[in-house]
Amino acid sequence: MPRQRRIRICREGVYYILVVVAVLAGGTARQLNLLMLLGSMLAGPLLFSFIYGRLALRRIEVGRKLPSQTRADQRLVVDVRVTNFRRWLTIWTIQVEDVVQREGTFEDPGEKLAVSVFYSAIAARETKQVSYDGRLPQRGRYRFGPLRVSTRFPLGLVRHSLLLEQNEELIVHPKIGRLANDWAQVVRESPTGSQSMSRRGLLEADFYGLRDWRPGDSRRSIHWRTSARRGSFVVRQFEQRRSQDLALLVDLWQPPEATDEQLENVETAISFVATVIDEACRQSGRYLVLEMAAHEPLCRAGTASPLFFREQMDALSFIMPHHEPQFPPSLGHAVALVPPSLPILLISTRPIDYEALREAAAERDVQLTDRSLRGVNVAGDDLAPYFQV
Amino acid sequence: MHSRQFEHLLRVMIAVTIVLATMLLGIGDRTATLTIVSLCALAVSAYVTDITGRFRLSQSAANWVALGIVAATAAGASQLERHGQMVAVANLQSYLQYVLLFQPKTPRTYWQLALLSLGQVAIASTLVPGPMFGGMLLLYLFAGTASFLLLLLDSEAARFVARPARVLSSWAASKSTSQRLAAHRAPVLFGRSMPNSRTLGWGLLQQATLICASSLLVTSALFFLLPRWNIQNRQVASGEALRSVGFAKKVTLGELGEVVNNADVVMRIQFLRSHSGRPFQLLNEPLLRGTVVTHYENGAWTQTSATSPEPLPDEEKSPFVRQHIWAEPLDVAELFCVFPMFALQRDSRLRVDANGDELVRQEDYRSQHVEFEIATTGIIEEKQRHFLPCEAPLKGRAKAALLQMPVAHPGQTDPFPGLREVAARALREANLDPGDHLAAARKLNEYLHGSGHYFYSLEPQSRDTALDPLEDFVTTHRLGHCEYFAGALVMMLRSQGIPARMAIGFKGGEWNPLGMYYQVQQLHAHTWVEVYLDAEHLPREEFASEDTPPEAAWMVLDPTEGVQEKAQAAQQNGLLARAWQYIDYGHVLWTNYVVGLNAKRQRQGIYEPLAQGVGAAIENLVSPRVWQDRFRVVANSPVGTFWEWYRDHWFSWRGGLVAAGFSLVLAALYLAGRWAAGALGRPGFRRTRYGDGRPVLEMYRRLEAALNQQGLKRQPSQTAYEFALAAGGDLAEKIELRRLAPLPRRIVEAFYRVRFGGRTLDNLEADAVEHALAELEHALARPR
Repeated sequence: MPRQRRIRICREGVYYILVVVAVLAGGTARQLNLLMLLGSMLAGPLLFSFIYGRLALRRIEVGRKLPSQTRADQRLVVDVRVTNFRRWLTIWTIQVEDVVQREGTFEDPGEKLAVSVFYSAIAARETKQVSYDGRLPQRGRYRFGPLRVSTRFPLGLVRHSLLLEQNEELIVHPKIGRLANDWAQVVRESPTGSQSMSRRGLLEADFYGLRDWRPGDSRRSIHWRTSARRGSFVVRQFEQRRSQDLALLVDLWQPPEATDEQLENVETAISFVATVIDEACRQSGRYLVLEMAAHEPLCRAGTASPLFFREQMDALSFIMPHHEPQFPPSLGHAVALVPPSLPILLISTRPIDYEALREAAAERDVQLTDRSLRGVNVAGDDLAPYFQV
Repeated sequence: MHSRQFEHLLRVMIAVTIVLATMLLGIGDRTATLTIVSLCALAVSAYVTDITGRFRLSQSAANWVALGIVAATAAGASQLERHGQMVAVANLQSYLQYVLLFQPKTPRTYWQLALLSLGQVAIASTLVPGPMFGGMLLLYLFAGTASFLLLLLDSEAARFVARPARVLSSWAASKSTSQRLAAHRAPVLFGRSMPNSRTLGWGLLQQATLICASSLLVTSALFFLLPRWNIQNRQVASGEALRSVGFAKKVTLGELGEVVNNADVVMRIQFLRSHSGRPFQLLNEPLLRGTVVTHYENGAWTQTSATSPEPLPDEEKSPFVRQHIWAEPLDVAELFCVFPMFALQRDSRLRVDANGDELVRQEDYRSQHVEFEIATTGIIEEKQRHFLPCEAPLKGRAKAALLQMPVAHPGQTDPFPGLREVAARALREANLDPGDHLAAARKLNEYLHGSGHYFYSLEPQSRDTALDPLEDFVTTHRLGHCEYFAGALVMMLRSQGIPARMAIGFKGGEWNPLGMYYQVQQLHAHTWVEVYLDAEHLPREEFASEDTPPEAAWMVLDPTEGVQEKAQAAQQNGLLARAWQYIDYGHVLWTNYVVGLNAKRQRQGIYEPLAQGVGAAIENLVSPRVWQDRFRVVANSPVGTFWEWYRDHWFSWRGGLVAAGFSLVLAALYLAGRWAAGALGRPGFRRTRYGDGRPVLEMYRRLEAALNQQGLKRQPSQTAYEFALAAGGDLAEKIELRRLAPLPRRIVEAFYRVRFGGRTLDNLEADAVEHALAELEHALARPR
């Protein structure tokens, strides 16, 4: 790990050095031994300050422990550990400064913050942990580091610092809000029935019990141990899950010169999508389709699982809105890819242009009237009954 | 809460620092007023400002008060002389401290208090010369260091109580983003501080001690290296009384009271071998003569005639011993040493009388500490001689003066009838002829010293005023101090026609084994007798070693000898005496190597010995001849002999110095090597761990092993990440393994973070990796 050392004389140190120089110069110029003695005596602690800091920062290890994942506005606690590997020497007044910066765009670089933790003393062969905490209100990628370890011990005259290129990243997922009770009805009220009984793989169902083999049963379902014990084939019986599958089509639009409200709408829309996915992934087996018209379009489909959830959250953490004025045809095209049984929820940060959607769907020979489609305009009041941040 | 704990301690230490500074100043100015006032101000301000908060000076009020004080002090100091001005400045610093004490305390206030006290110490250093300054300065260094330590801890700990993050670069959002939204979106982070443990106080004490000890090393090195070219010998201040030796060229019997039990130091003397320069202790007690008196009249001894002082003789005689003398400022010009003496080098401060009997310093140097080195032939084989060669035989009036006795005035009888009779009887009973001066003098000395008829006492004695004091001492009241003994012997000798005189000076002194010198105090004042022996009475065996025996000599006799020896032996054995020796040696070092360190002493006492020592030690280390000799000696000597030698020579400061220097050089080379290796980017071999401490490489090996089950092997051209992506693609192509496809990538990402990112995985991440590995191993291990 690269280390850079630096020594900086503090303001107090400058004053102190001036006093020492004045006393030594006065003593030498006037040839006064006692004044020279006093000057020498004052120079001792100064020199000690220069040496001690260098020694103190030598055999230590500093580490930062970030949480594996966090969400915007969630309380973030970062542990900073300092280990003193020395056999005898206690190190004093250690300050560790961490730099936190959100990875922004060229136009919108994130704010760079330096947050410090302080250790009054770390005994020999001891590890001390101090945390800094707070909130990161924006989703995205945050860079942590480098770490700067410094000490002003013993007299606060000189600051020795050690720069540790210990850089890490933390992906801050979108804020997860709360879905209202009405949300449950959104899917159920689907005219074509959003609740499907789809065939799933064997492992995607819950084990129910054992029964005798019947013709047509898969050989993979045979429970060999019980069959061997009984002398006849016995198969495992699974309970098919009833899933609430869903397709999310998102028009993440934002004008080039966005107002605060429009900026907030984008974040709200992303947060809503994240909340829906979070809700869906609470039970594995649900089938989700996510199509987002954004700066870089996103198209995902899969069965709800922690892995799926993590991947979608990661994607939502970085997604940026598009600035195209016309309704994105890709959403209409995506309707064709959605199984007809799936209800579609169309979320937009502007009033939905159903005509454009219909035309785009028609290009793929799909009639919207055959589909269960519900539109939510985040910029309007559509979201209020379902979702709260 | 912990911050308050430090603040209380800090206040105490700052108060100690302030008091010590005023005490230092008080020692220099000979007044304790400032210290007392400071103590009062500290106590009052602690109560009304710090504890109860009833009275606090605002910043502006404090500024006005301080301005007023400065103006008043400047007006008053302008009419003072230099010393007074310095004291006024020091007082001004105290007044400013009082103003600060009544202000609310911040780290800045404490800094200002500390700096003001430092200014006072700086002024005190120009006023206080004594070793007490050194001791106080050490205390001040400790208190100051502890104060700064506490100040740092207090301010740092207070700063870190929920300290908000510092903005390094401001938010530069898009143009449409308002400040409100920017602020709303800005991260909010707070730094924290570790709670302090209760053991910090003890640790701080240790640290302060360590810093002070280290600082003292630096102090010593820097102080001794600073250039000197014109260090002035300190003058005793005009108001300071000079130390009195109680007698000079006139000794009146019964007036010795003022020097009795007076422990004031008169001088220190060190005897050094002429060739090696090594100090040694005399086998007998040294008799340091100041002057001689010959004329006795009415109970008082005086010199017959004064002679004009001359420069010291510089003709070298051998064998000789060097006398290194540090003389305190005294009220007399006489200096004390072993006679006969001659100068080793010209010294304009010293003079000797025409007869060579008296060493004096020039009048200008009486009020100064004088250090000088002269030689003497009066010491042979570490023992002071009892026979001192006389430059030239005494004749005529000079010899007659040594036989002077008080004359009987008209109408009076002989003042010493009893004394004459006692002397004559003593010789008669010993069948000694008074013409045999040597034997007669020894017999009379023995009579006073060892007959048991005369007793030593420093107590004032009642005397028969009708009689001469010496006659009374010899015949009636046989109790007295050294002046009675010596005076009586001189008179007894003269009564028998033997020329003699009384020598005045000091006997013995406290031998200091640390500094290898004698410390001579007032209470060591002594008188003894010098008997003149011409050629016919000289004991030739005493001068057998000399090429040309002298034509006349002085025989030294001390009739009070023995009495003081017992008292001094008892005095030197006590613990207190030992402690006093340490203190006195510290005083000597302070006087010579701190206050009086001048260019010459710096060169002779520090640079030259250091250079010689280092040179000799290096020679000892690298010279093949020396090593050959050493091995030869060791090889040829019995083991016991070697150990005997080793026991006496196991430590040499020069060798130690060179060894320490050599070790430092080695350490510097080692550090430089390490630094160079670091600078060249040599990677360290540090075992990176993850999660619960398992080596990180194991993570990747398990992944590779699991994938190998499916025939997936990393190509030499592939990185681990590329391999994971390729393996994920292969897994995704198989329906039953598709769910495992992202796992290799995720595992390798975690592996990269730990292996190359230098971080450790938290428990959740470690569990996820472990779970993914287990799933892969389980799924891929099954036959398909």
